[in-house]
Amino acid sequence: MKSNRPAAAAGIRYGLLALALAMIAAGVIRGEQLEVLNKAVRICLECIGIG
Amino acid sequence: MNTKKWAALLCAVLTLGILSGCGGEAPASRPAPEQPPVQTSEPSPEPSPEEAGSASDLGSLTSFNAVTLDGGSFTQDDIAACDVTVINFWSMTCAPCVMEMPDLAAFASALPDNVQLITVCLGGSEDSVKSVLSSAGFEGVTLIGGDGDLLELCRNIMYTPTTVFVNSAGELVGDEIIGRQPDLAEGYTEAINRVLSADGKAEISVEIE
Amino acid sequence: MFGVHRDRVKRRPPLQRIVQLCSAVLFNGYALGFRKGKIFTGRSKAVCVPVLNCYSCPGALGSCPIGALQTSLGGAGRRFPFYVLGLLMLFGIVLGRAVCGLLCPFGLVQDLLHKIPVPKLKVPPALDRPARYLKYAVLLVLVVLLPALAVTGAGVAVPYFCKYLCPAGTLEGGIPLMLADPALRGLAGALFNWKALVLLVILAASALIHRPFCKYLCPLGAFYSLFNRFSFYRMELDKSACVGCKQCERSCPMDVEVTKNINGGECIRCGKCKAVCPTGAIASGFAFGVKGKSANDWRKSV
Repeated sequence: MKSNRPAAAAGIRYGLLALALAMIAAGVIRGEQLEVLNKAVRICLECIGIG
Repeated sequence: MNTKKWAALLCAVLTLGILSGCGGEAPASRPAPEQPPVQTSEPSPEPSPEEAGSASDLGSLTSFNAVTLDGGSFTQDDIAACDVTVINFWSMTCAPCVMEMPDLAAFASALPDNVQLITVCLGGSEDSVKSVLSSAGFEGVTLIGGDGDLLELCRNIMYTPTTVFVNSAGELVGDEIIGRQPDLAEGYTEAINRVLSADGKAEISVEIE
Repeated sequence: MFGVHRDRVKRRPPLQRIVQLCSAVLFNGYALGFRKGKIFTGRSKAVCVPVLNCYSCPGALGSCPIGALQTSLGGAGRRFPFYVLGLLMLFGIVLGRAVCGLLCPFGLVQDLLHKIPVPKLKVPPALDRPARYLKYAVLLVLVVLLPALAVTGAGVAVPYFCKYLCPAGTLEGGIPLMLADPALRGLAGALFNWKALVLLVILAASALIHRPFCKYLCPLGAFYSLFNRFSFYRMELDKSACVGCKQCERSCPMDVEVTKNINGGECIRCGKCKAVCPTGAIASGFAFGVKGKSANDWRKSV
């Protein structure tokens, strides 16, 4: 088990990296980054403590 | 170096914090105890030319071409057709804007013929915008794009919701109203009457069912 | 052998501080915004930065990941937030909580406040240990569940964490904008008083406790902590070089049990343990493969 640990850890590491990149790609295809942009370019009154 | 000293210090700091918190952020601002200064409360029978209000800094609407949600067009001529045009700028990513839409719709329905209320949606998909407006019961015009003075005005709008009050010449009169209002009808009616009296027209009162 | 004391002898700021400062400036580089009281509206705001950095900060060049997550979850479409979650996972798997220790401007603020020469408070473990779980509750409830599930009449949800808790928003967004725009100051009401109080308490606590927000409240730190064990950037302890002096554990701002669990969820990869270790047993860096930096060390290291 101990000698397998590094391989398992590397597997999880690269697997999560691949998953993260795939999710980002999926989001961009659906245009989710535009929703983020739309929110971020206008002052969020709630975020700064008003209304 | 004992617990009592630390506790006393902590209490002192927190007390200072609470005291300054009650009065607002000490280094940054002292919120006005009276109502938001963006809206003047004294009726001015003859407003002098100097009292232009801060909204005029945002721009004017003398020449522009806009596209409405239904695919129609809206220009300065549509502004000239009414004594006062109330314009509410909002966005789908702004929760308070969406939450005040029903109040806005009710107010808009109760307006007389010489005053119109339109909204300008600064961001969001057409379907979601239509859905929000129809659940709120808003039947007026909503602009989703434009050029000229309107584009310039949109660029200067910093917060949502922001509501401005425009006379038939396309000038923004008085102060803009920023943020969701607890009593929308009262504040908006006052602002509308400010525009009307500046143009020498009769004031209105609005009754919401 | 003198390498460990090099920083103190030469009196230059440690690498961590330099990285933190550069990072704060990089993420908030729109200097014009502070003067004009406006925020940056460029395309880069479609990308989330890895740190807790309010997108209403006049200087912010990117989007706050926690703010963006709430926006995506609470938005009209209520769709699964692939983009924001993917970015968060990317930062998590590459850096883990090194984001907290090296990049986060609010972390820097807490670090600097801790330097104020007042007596430091040691939080008793009976209080400290359960309190560390509070940040997961903040993440789950305020950032995820409430925006995703709270049904407002209109179908667009409020960003609960941003609105009711986030001190970074008050500090980086609220204060600079209010300084620049008097109309905004007039609008401040009960909500602002609450947020100002939250900010003040956290800032005051930072002088007494090291990084109280990171330990007990930050939802982003909570999220990244889940990746610490697997992240590419990691700490390594060479057990064969360790002499058990526990200097590392004494200097750790997050009270990590360095000798037992150096890559545990609370480690923010600030490098203090590495700096004080008398035998140089602690290293940090990117581990790219099974054969990584020193494959043999896997057997020896934690």
